[in-house]
Amino acid sequence: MDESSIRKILRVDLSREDSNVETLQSELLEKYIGGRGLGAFYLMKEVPPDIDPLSAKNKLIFMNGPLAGSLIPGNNKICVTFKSPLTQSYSYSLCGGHWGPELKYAGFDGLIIEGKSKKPIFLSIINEKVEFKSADKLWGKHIPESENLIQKDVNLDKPAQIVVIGPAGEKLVRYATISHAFYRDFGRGGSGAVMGSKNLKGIALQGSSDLKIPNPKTIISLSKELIKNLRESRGGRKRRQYGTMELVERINNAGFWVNRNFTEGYFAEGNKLEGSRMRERIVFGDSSCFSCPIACGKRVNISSRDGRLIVLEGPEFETVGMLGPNCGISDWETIVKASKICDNYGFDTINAGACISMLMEAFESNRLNSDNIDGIEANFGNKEALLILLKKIGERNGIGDLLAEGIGFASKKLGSESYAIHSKGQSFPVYDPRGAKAMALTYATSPKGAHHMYATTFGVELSLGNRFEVEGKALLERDQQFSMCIVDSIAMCSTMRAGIPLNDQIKAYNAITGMKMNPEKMLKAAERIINLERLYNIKIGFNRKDDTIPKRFLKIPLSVGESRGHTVDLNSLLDDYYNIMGWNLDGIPTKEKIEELELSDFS
Amino acid sequence: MSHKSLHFESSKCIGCRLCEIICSLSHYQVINPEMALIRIRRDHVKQIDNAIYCHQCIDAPCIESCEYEALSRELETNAIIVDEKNCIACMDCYYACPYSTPKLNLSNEHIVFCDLCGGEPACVAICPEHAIQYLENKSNSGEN
Repeated sequence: MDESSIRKILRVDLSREDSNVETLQSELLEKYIGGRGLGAFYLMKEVPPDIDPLSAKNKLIFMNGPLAGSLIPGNNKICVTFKSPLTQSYSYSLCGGHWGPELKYAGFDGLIIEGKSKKPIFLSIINEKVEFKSADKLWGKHIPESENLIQKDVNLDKPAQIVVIGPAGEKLVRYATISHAFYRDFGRGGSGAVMGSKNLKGIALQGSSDLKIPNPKTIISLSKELIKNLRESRGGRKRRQYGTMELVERINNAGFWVNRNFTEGYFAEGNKLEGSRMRERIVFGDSSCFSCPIACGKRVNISSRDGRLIVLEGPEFETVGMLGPNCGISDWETIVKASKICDNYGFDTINAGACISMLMEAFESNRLNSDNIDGIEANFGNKEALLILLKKIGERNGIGDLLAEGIGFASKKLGSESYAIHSKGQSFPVYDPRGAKAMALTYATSPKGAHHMYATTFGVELSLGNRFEVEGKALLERDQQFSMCIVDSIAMCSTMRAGIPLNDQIKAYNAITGMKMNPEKMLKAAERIINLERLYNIKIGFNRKDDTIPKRFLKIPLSVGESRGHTVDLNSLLDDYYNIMGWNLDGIPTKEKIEELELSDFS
Repeated sequence: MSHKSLHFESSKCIGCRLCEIICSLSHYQVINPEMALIRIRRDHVKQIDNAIYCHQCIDAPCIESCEYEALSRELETNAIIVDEKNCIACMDCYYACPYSTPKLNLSNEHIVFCDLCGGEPACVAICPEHAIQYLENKSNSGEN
């Protein structure tokens, strides 16, 4: 075998301060593609489903896709798979930027972190050289300072690519992120808390090994063609201009954008937050991840009322929705400040926004009073309350200590369950499923709890004009789950789908790996991965009873906007979906399905 | 005789680093951004990307500084080129360069310079934002 085609995984044991290099069995690619698929395989194989996610037995399984480091556009995502301390379930999260490609240049397709360090440390990985360095001086520092201090410590001619956790990860906020380059994150599920529980502050990578690719000429011309297709596609052009904020207009006008804790689906001041208005008001530049010609990242500066200049990359669509309209807020200064607090402490803007909007609704409904909330008058629209509560979460201070436990746990303690908008303990992102029915299936059946990127059905539902229908949605849901599973496993950014459809994804995959995948094999692999993820959760005890969404979506119709009058019939959707997936009515894959997918070893 | 050189505008650069990839691929047939002759550095605080690349300065302080006759101009493109046999990797050219551009090859044996791909720079061709362009060179060292 040509040496360049051998793929390696670096395994680091924090308990023993030891590391070793393993070969990745090439037949695993055919079964699990890469990225998210390989993560599922390794988690199932190595992490017992019944462990405490914050114990030394959990692992952080970072997996690149086979295209990592090449010039195929948008191949920059790296997936981390772990058992989530937020949902107590299987979880994965993908991060863009430049860290995954750097891992490849260091010589690795994957990095598995296991065990627990006795004291705070960070890892310096320069090619195959792994060092365990003291993080005593870094512990407690915000994300930007932590990354800068690690950069200084590593002190190389070429900057290292770094991931760190902030105070939120150290304090085990259950939706803490692992942050990269200040503004990119492994965002959902609490991988930052897992890292904090291991006393691991950061990982600096630097690689200088040659990445050999077969037929460079063919791959250059294919990449150029894909770049052109992307840049000329309708979706690509919009993302280039406005990033994910291009979605505001469409989703708000269709009446299914989060508004005040999902009490409504149309935000009257939404036009202030549209992508074009954002660009005019606060954007001064565009920022890309590695090998991406779209640059959805928006560089923003804003002068605050106290005279400070705030500069950052972002905020993007989910953040704006959850910290803005979801909390009844429409001014850029507050949204940018709120986003920056989450960036500095290192926690998920979606879960944080949902915890705060839950308090706001409970407060306005007289379910809670300010005595329950550290004396804060938590009305919707109270900008100061939003900023103070976010800091309290990051510091686990007062009510923030409870909110840091996640929306499921916190709402039970507060007796405000009916205002807690989540599935499996993971808060809803900004799309109200009453306005795009298949999104209810996405939220209910995702193994990591309510997560929009598990299957972004709303785009298809909008363009087909059948978003309120139930019929046909189970099939759409399955197809979108497969589609996302493939891009997550190739570890290509989902935005690339705008100009790189499945056939081209496969063309790129085959060109780099030399394999002969086709749509049928790729879809079968996606189905295998999704079933494997499901099986992990079933071992924990999850089944149909957990595939839920909050009552308001089932019972209370929206009253204003273009989705008014609608609720979701989740039971019918679930019956159809399980049937199409070859699962029984309890949501458990049948024996035949498991055998068909060659997963018998894992059931 | 007038000649062209690379011109970079950081306000247009999105930091995708396609230029680094294509540069290493065209020169070494492998991808190794560390070996690229144009390298992008992101400033996370200011949110800007800068490039380190050879400006092909008209007055070429690098050539001036070399005591081993390792640096000269290529006739066709006027690009500064390295005679690997003569170069002893002393780094004098690096210290003379106002942009700290010259770098050692991976095995630290000699210096490497951007050769403008013989007049058709691959980085210019692939840059989706035209942040790097191939234009008439009018600048002495430190002037742009």
